[in-house]
Amino acid sequence: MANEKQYSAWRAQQRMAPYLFIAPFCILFCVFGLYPILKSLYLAFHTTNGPRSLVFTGFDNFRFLLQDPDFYTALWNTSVFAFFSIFLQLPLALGLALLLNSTWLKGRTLFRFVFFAPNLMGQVFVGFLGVVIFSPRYGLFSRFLTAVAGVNPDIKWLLDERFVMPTLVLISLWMYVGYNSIYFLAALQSVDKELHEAASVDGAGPWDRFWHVTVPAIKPVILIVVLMSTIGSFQLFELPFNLLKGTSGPNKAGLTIVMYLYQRGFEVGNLGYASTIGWTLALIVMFISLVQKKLSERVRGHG
Amino acid sequence: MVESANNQSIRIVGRTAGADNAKWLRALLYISLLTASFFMLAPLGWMCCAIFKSSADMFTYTLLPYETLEKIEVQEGPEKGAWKVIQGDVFSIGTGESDTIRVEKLPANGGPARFVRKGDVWEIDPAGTPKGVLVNGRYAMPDAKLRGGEIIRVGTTKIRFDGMHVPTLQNFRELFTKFNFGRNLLNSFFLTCTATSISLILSSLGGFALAKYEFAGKRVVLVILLATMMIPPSLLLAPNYELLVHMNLMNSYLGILLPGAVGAFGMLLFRQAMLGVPDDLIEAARIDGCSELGIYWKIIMPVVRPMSGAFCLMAFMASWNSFLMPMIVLQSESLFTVPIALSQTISISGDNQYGPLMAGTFLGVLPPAMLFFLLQKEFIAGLTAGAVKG
Repeated sequence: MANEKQYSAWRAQQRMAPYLFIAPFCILFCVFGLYPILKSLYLAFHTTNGPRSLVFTGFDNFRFLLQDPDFYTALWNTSVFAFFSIFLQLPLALGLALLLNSTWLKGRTLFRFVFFAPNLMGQVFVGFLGVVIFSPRYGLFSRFLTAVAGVNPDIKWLLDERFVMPTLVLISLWMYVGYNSIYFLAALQSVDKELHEAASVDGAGPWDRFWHVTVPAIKPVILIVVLMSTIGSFQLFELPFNLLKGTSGPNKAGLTIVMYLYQRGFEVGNLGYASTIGWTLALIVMFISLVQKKLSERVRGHG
Repeated sequence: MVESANNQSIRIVGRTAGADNAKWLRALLYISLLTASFFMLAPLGWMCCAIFKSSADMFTYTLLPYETLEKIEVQEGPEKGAWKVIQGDVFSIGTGESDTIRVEKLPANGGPARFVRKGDVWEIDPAGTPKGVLVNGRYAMPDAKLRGGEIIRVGTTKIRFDGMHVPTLQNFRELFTKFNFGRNLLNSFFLTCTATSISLILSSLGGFALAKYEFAGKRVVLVILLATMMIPPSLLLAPNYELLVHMNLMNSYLGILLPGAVGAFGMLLFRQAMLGVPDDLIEAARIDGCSELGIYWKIIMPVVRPMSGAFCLMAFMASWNSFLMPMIVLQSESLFTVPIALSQTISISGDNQYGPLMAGTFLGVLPPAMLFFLLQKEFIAGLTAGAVKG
């Protein structure tokens, strides 16, 4: 009798286990994940002044967004940043990975650590360091450029609208090129060496082997890294925010979409408009992801 | 016979040319990697020097400051004027040009001359015997006791010393006294460790359920998790803020911890790793009478331990560096984490606070860097596992 009772209790815990295991996450997720997503959709159609006043305004927010020059500035800046992340940083990261993958390289782990090191800092801290390094005339960057290339030392990297975006691109290159090359390196190391040897025997040069053996083999990883970089670039906030000391830079040259969302939602206090910006950002990111997915399928189909 | 000999010689020539080529390529490889490494490390190296420079010296010296004495300005007295001094000079204040007039203090008992200290008063003997200070660079002014710009008086002669640029711990002192940075570090540690533990427990338990059980709603959960990976986290800022205000969780750590615990990424990572654990192992434990929680704790977690290490490091770094949500939620300075304190108080406390800012940045970067150093292998394996396999 007691045994039977014990057995049924044991069966019960076995049956209930998965629900109990996933319940804590699911409850939190419903409250702080799912509900906010729906709530932000609701907010997007309202105008708010702080968290406690709410007026329904229909599509006004979206209509305003489409004519909002600041939003277009933010969209343009973020897109330029994303463009350089993908078309400048990723090729360099791939090149770096190819160098690190050389068979006779000694100290690969050390080099890999060195290139990864800037990424350990996190964007916030890089922002603080950047403020000092990119000071005009006496900052490390100006001193270096003046000494090596005779560049005008008085260029105000962070206070001249022409130079804010290049500076951001350069800093993110420094931060993320090693990080991305780790993905490429891992992919390169899993490429079958026999394929290379076979191609070599067939008379393929290094360039041919790169295009026809390496690239197809690591294509899935390239696509994932491109996707992650794009999504990451569109989230850009902490680096420019701290680099520009909480402002959007000269003539809003450092304004990004998330920064604009923050300003509208938390400096002005219009959570409704912030949600509209948030959903627009979400749609942009989803659209880009879809396009890249379609592209990758097509590429894979042809390959 | 002749042909084969020819062949051989050609092959040998070919091989040496190839070896030569390889040597050049190898040199080129190392040169480019070392150059790139230089650019990667230069800003970090500069920061490691900057933390020892006073805010005033931040831009005057590219690396560490080294000059103990630049200039002496005699403000009153016969030698009135500024004198440029470099290390090793014997600077003289005295009565005539012919003497090697050393201003030197001779103690009454005839012992050795003392070094200059702030506040010392030196007398010049009215009888004409030159007395005073021997100022020869580093030697005359040990430690950083006398700072640039400070004035000492030699009898009726007031002397102003300019220079004294040496490495200093002043930034750290200021950081911990003026800005109460120790509190911020403790806050960050507490918040980050709690957030990492919560993430680890929730993600691994949930991942276990998704990997090794069949239950109603499993597919729905998986689809929703995958779908929300596409949602940018900034979309949740406004509604979560509103929610926290209504729940009275603003300006509290719960307001950061609860919304921060719902990342789907970790759960999918754990699910992926746990799929690889053989079912037989679990079944065997079950037959032995092990409870489900026991299976999770004694069988599954030890197997996925390397993954857990990588996950903890990633969660630690994400939480340690997190900025936007803490900035919105935290309002009182005593709750500020390191990034928030640096951003909201230290970096805007005046234009000339670069010293403490750099020192704080350095201390803020140290914990994740050290953890990474310990767990490097696991971390890179975990980082690339999803991408390469998927």
